[in-house]
Amino acid sequence: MSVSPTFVYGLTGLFLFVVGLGGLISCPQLLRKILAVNIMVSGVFLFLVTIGYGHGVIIDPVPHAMVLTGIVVSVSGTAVALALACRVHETFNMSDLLKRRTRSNDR
Amino acid sequence: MRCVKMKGSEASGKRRHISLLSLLSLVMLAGLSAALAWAFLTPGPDPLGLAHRVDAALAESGVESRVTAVLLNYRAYDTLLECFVLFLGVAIVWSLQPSRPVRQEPRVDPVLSSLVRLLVPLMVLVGGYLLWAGSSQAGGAFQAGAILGAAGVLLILTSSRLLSTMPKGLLAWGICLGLFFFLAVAVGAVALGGNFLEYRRSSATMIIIALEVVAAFSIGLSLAVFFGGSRPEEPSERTAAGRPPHGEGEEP
Repeated sequence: MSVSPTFVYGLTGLFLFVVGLGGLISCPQLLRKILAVNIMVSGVFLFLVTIGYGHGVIIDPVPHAMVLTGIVVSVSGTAVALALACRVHETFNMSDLLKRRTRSNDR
Repeated sequence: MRCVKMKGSEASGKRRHISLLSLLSLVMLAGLSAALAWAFLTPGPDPLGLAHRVDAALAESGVESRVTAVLLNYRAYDTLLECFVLFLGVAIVWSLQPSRPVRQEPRVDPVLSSLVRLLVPLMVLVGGYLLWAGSSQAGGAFQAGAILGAAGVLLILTSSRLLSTMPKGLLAWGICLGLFFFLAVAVGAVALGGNFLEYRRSSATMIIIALEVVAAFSIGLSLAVFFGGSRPEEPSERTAAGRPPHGEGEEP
């Protein structure tokens, strides 16, 4: 079986998705969770673009348009998540779901 | 992948628990990746997807670029909801942080600030070109919006004086403009006797180009605002509130 670009890109997208999911589960830090979700999203985008490319005969524009929409939505989601994480950090003085109040109450 | 770090003596009891959990999640992830890979490698029913249908209807869409036709004609609903997501995101980000005054007195390198002064018009030009190119080739509102947003980020990073001389209400109205214009087009189509978001064939090109221009402007503003992190304070607000500016804790 010859290795086609579609094969490589698709499996890379799946790999990124699974790596991001693993990071989302195992990292207690909020910032790392946000980064993990972004890695998952990148995997999904890569996979969708690969699906749209198909076998290179006719390129399906629908997944491409979905990826374009999804990029903007993921940026918005990341911005909201970062703002929420900042707010959590300011309010509870924690950036980590396991270690609460690492710095002593200095505020 | 394991980011869990335990310290001290209380860790020994929990460590076994956590390693069991991480083992379980590893098994689950391996199973998930195997299932996904199997699903990917199994040939689907139609490898060409919707490409033929897009091509068949391209003449009616009003634009030559297939991706633009999908984005702003066939699946304009997606783009409308995306504008709504951006609007909602800005609303949430602004409501989570108190408004902060625009930083005055730029302490940046004069070389950097003059470079930015050269770059920003160029970026606006490139954004305009991408917008124009979007009707017939690669490009469009999103790419143009991303470039405009990057220009805004540059202006924020160098705390340009352009930000403090910005007309009042430009940000809020500019961000709302994309969503409102889109909604007006959608509802206007209903008022003229069509379906929601249905364009007349004769006016489809003009509508799509107008939508793209407005959407690119709103997307660019929203992206820059996301980077800024909190609502810039209006000058009148600053004198009325009279509280000390707190500049620490810049958001990424």
